[in-house]
Amino acid sequence: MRSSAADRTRPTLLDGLVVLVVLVAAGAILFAFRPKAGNFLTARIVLDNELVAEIPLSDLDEPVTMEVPGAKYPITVEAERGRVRVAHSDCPSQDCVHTGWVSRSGGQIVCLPNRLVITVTGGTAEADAVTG
Amino acid sequence: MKRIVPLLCAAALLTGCASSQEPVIQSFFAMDTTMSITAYDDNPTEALVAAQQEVNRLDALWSRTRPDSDVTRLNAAAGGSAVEVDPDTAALLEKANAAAVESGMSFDPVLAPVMDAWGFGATESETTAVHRVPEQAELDALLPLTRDLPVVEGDTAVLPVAGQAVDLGAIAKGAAADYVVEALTEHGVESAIIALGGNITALGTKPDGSPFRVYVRDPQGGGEDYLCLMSLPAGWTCSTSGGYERYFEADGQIYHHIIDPTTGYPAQSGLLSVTVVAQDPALADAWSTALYVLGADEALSRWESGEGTVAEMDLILVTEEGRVYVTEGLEEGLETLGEGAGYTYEIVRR
Amino acid sequence: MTHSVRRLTRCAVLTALALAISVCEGLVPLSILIPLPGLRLGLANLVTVYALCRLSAREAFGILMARCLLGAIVGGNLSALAFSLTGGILAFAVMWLLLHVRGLSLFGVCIAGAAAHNTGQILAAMGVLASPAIAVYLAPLLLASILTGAVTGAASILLVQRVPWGDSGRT
Repeated sequence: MRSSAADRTRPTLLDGLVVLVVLVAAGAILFAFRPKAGNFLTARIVLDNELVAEIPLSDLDEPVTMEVPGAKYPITVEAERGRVRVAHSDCPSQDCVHTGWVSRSGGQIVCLPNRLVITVTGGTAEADAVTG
Repeated sequence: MKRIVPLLCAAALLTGCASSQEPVIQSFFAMDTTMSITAYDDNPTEALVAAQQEVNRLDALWSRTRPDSDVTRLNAAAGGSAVEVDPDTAALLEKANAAAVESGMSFDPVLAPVMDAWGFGATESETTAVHRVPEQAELDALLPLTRDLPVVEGDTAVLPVAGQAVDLGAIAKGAAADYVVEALTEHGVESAIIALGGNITALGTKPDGSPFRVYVRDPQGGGEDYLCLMSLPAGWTCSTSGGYERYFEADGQIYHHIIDPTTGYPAQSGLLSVTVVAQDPALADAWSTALYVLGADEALSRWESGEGTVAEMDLILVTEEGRVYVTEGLEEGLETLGEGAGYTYEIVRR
Repeated sequence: MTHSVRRLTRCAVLTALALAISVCEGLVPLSILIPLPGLRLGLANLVTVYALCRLSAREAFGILMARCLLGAIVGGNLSALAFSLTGGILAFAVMWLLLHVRGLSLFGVCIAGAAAHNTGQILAAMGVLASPAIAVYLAPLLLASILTGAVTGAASILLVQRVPWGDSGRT
């Protein structure tokens, strides 16, 4: 097979068009996957030093509710796209419930009575830790 | 082939931002709080295990609730003869004593009897702790026990007065950071952010060379309200104390857990929270409590004087009026986030 | 030499060449320089382009298949076969189509081929790992493919011009 392309030695205008198409495609993908708040966030649930669950917050299309297995005081974690919270806990302090929704990377929900930590990681982390 | 090199360089520029190294996070409970170490390393597992073991070892030495800890034995022998303690315990007691003396006992490692009266004491029972407002007579009887510091000689220590008790809760977590850094460094980890219950220590910088970034919680806000975002220089620690962390309500009044050793009552210094950034993690921990008790004026005048431990630190002080004082060392990389919540910020210079 | 033997030999030589190039490329992975999974210069694509221009689509496809299969066996990395096959076939189809377009040079063909190869790889990775999140890598890979495509384009022009070894060529 012989084609005209095989005989050219210099780039043509149409080559520029190909480059443009690829650029536009890359731009469109960048735009579609632009890191919105909470994109590719993961909630890691650690109970008594053990990782019990990892919830991909960015991939959730519907809210997920889970009872953390093995918790001393029954505790229910609720996650939806981009955020997570403790919906209910039987612990005496209720600090974990009062923390409310956490959506930023680096954010944490702690239930000391249950020795449970939920850490939100991934995404475009603004911070690496929280003090206070 | 000549044209490949510049093309490759351009490709590197275009795509260089897509760094792929994922950190490994180790979360665990120790010293009655949550701890997490985030290590940027190809294989930090051994280092993380070593670090956690180190914290557990220190917890076993410094816990007030474990029956065989150095602190428990020291407290049991109060007013009696000296007790043999681990060199690490002796070193921490001396550090705590120095901070207590320099702060005029605003940081008080022997405040335990008064703390216990409020129900803020040994925290393992925090979930079942009974908080109450002690009678004045009760406090008057307990306060004399909180004045004499433990006497440390070599690897022995003793509390001079019977009934005294040491509680290292306000310095132990900070002190532990030094040991964690050592354990991680020994195993080759060069980049990690260490969070020991609100005390954040930066080991090195992020892999890209930029400093680690830390949120400071809004003392009046909810879980995701932050006062500011700041850069934590390599090797430094920030520690925050605030009444909002632990408190209880009785007869419509809020009583928080930072007790002023002079009155025996929760400190009323006009501050909502104090964040201390220092090179020594134990001092950051201890002084965040001390400065909370001392108040903004005393904290800033100590800082401005250019002398003493406080002058070597950087501070973020939040007053009840919503004023936030940030010392100049933290200005670079500071991002204020609380204007919407009514905070006004002021950079303090000397 | 009979026609079919010559053809077979030619394909075998080109397959060996493509395999050698891709193994060599694997020894100096571009992704060490730029941390982007799946990034390579794609020099083995030169052979596909050459075969498409100077031989036939059938032979070019055969060479491509043989290269992918043998590459996976030689490299001992059978799991990568899905990626290289999807990428390779997609790139082949795009380049074959574009070679029929008047007014394009091999620059455009190779850039489109590189972009198609990367797209195919990412599609395969998304399928294998069942994670649509991998698509984030596609944008930088597409940008990179403009550059790698231009490099292979320039090289393939030289190759096609200087080695006119086709059916009508001198043998």
